[in-house]
Amino acid sequence: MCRSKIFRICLLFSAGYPLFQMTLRLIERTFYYPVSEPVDTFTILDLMFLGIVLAAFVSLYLGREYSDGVIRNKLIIGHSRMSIYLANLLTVTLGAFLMHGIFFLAMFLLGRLYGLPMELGFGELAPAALLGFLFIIAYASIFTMVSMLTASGSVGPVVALIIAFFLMIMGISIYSALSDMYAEIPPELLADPGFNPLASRPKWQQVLFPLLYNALPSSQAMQLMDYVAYAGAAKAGHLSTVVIEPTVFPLLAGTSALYDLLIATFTTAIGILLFRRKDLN
Amino acid sequence: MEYVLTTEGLNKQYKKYKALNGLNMHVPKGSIYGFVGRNGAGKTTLIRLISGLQTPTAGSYELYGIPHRDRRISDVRRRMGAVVETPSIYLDLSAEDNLKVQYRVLGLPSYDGIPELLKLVGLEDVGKKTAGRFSLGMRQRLGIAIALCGHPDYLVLDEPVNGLDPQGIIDIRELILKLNHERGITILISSHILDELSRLATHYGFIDHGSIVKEISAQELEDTCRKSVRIFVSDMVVLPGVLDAMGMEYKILDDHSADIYAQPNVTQLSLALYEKGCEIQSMTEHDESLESYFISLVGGERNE
Repeated sequence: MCRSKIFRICLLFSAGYPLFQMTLRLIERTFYYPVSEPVDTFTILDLMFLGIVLAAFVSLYLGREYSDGVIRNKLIIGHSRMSIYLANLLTVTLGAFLMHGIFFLAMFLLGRLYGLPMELGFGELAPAALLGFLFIIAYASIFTMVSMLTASGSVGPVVALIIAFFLMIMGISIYSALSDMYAEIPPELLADPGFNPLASRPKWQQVLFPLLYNALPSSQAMQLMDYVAYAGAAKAGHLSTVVIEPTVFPLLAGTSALYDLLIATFTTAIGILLFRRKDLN
Repeated sequence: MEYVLTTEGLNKQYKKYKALNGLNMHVPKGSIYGFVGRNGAGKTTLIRLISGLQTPTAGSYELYGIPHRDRRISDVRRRMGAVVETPSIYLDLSAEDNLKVQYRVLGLPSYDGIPELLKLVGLEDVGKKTAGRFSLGMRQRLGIAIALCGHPDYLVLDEPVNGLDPQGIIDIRELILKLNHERGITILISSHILDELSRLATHYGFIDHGSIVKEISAQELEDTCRKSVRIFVSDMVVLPGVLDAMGMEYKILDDHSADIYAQPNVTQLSLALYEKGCEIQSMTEHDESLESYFISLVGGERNE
């Protein structure tokens, strides 16, 4: 994988974007706005566009196996379809882990180096970054399935990117819809633990919206960003009203883990089953 | 005779199209098996099946006596190498790196043997040049090198000389002969270039419309295709004695005809037969090339 140009470009982006973003913040703070917003959420900003990056990375990396025909070499010498599939899944997942890890560390270290305002310490941000690994597992599973089944170095990336954009747009739409719903509710009602904010909505919205909000990796990322912003503001003592109450971190982590592992298990099982039956040229 | 590959009633159906139709085939161990057929006859489909890229719709095949549905088939496949249609190589890696990747896929503990493999296929001087910049012949040779990484004793080559220039064809031919003669590797080559196959193959399998029409050894094919004079006579009892007396090699075909594998003096022969009361009804020169033999098997127009 290290020799793969696609992987190297993604790694470069993982290190280069933090450098660009933090340097921009530094310039803003130095020359324009002496008091700037905290940059805690920037450390996990990659999770917002993770789906698109992984769609491109996974589909291009695995698509090469088909375009160069090298997947045949593995089958000819007797490797099972399942082992090939799982090896590919593991490889792209580990590659994505590395990209995310580099992004987080680069953002955090540059933020500290430039003296930009950060409300949370490494010990508080690291768990949030670690949660990103769960999102990666879900995305990697989805796009591995797409790439292994489309069996094309050109069609696979197109399908994967369409799915990535669809997931992202759906996540944003769910988040926006819930934001609008919560904005209509007085804060004192939201603070009541027994109150159901969606009680006035149709039954299907009461079931579907929370399910998608918790299940989609894209909206999980937004929840996590909200949590980091909320935790930072709470620690700094300037907590303001948030539209959607951030989930307590262990509950957020548990819910994300459940849905992400379910997505990974389901897509991997389907992927292996269909890949086993696929005729390869 | 020991067979590396046998197929029995092998079928492969793609939706409404039947690519293989009850194919029965036997590849003897140690042979160079020339798999001959027209475009679309089913050669590549068969190779895909035996390489594990696709599964048969019906029928079965055995590799070294192990049925394809047996779990042990994956172990037996380690003894096999194949180049299916186009060489499977990473275009952005060098020749050496491509071999290293294959060594890792095979789980080999070290990279020993890579320089020797490159030398064997004539790529020892390519250095760090990436495979994407290789000529077609070089890529073909690298594909064969990759297929040889696990020291297989059975090699499957799907139209290995397609698109090569004359020197490239010679290089591949010499490599194949070397692998067979020096290392004892059984080789299955599919091709529709009959002239090239005739210089290599020890056995032939002719395929048409997804079935094997004929399997024949090179010796048997040579006997069938030998240049001869085909003679039709009125009394077959007399002919052998006359030909023996003239010291000519011949083969009796039926009650009225024989092939004479020599250039007889027509006057002497007809006088000798006439003295014994036998008339010559016709004499024709008979020279069947592999090409005409193939056409006679699978049909088609003859162009003289």
